[in-house]
Amino acid sequence: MTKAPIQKDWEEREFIESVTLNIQKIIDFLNKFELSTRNKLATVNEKILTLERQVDYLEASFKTVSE
Amino acid sequence: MVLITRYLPSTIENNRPSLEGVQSKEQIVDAVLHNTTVGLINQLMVLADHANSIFSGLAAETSQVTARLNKLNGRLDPLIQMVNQVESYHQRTSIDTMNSRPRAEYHAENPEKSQLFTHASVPQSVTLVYNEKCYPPPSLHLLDPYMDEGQHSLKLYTNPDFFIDEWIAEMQKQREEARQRRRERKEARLRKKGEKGDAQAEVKKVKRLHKVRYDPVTGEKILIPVDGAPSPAAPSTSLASPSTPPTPVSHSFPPPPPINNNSYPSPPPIGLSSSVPPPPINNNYRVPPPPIGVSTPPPAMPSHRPQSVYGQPQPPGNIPTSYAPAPAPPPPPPVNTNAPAPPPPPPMAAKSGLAAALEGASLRPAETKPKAADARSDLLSSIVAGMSLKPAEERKIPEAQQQVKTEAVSVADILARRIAWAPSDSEDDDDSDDDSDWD
Repeated sequence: MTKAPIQKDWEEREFIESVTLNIQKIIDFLNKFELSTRNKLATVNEKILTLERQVDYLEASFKTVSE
Repeated sequence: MVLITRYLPSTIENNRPSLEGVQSKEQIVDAVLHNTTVGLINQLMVLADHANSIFSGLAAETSQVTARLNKLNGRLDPLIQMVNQVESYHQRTSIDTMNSRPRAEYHAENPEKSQLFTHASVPQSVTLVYNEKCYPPPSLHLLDPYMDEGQHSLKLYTNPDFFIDEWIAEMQKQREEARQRRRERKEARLRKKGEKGDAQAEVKKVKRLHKVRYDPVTGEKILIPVDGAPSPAAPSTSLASPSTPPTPVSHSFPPPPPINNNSYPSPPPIGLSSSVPPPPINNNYRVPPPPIGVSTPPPAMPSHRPQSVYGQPQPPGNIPTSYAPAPAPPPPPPVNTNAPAPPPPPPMAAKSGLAAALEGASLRPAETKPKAADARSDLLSSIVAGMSLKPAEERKIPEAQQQVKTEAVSVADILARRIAWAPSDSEDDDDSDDDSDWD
């Protein structure tokens, strides 16, 4: 028994919808991943800034001690 | 509102299905299916591109962080080596030597970064969206020849320099305000200089000094000008409650008794019988107000009423009172007319400060109070009268009951007098409030 064209069309539409849904999931994952990664990188950046300032201070203080 | 940094097109945005020459339904369905599939593939392609840009951006940032960490690591190695040298130096050198050396002040480098938000710093994805999706402004530059005073017609529609122009206007306004303030300050200084010149000619008036003294007897405040006579200040009386009208309270002592040679004892007061209760003891020196709304007249009082202690109201007249005559006093001794008069008081050589202060103050006469009937006063009067003893049969012994009652009344009178003279807490507060105003 051959499938009716309308039934065939519905199956094709279902496939397209599933692909679209998966694309949306990928987009959602990408957005969340970028957001969390940039947030963590910003935190690391702040910590590195603090470390750099502390190293600057230590270098200056050691220099004065040696002098 | 979310800022869309990356844009993903829909499946039918870039490829509309061409249905020219298509007749059957199956062909239409196939054409739509093919176009939708192409749209999906296009979406996946754009998505891969965006994912690539996202990951490349994150990789660039991570590489920057790694570079900074490596740089820090390289700077830490010499510091670790220097720690040993510093420790050995601290062990060798004494604390006094280290404290005596001048301290070096540390100034951290604070490079101020500017030009953070420029066209170059815009992310690439945002630039793509801006260039592809944003509509350009209409070509209004064609109307410039028809504008007045060479205005740009596009500036009226969209002005990229709007915020810079606003900032320039604000700075000019602040500059004008500062100039105006400077001018006003200069004028005020000149005006003050002119006023100073005028003020030097004027003689300054000095406030008159007053010494404040308090009368130890009456407690009145006395203001004594430095060069004038004392002027007693009117003491302020505070009301106990708004409903009760204040009555003048005299705290002044009674005047001294007149000096005379006649030593007649004062007649004893009328003794109250046992039916009359003692007067109520009340610390408030206020006459209670009459009850509001009473239309009946007060009951008739007896014509002869003894004055109660400190102006207290008597019990109502309908209480039956019987006045018993007191026992007759003993006869007075013969008056000695040749008795020498007491010497006059010596004249005061110089008035003391207190006497001078009290000279202006006037004392109010104290209320005359009847003496309480007392067995002691009878005994005292008999002693003063002399040693005239009577025979036992002539002497009349008063009834014991009456004597007991008289003593009870006299004790109540003494208590009332003592309580009345004892200063109450509320009065102390009032006085302290009045006296605490140092003016």
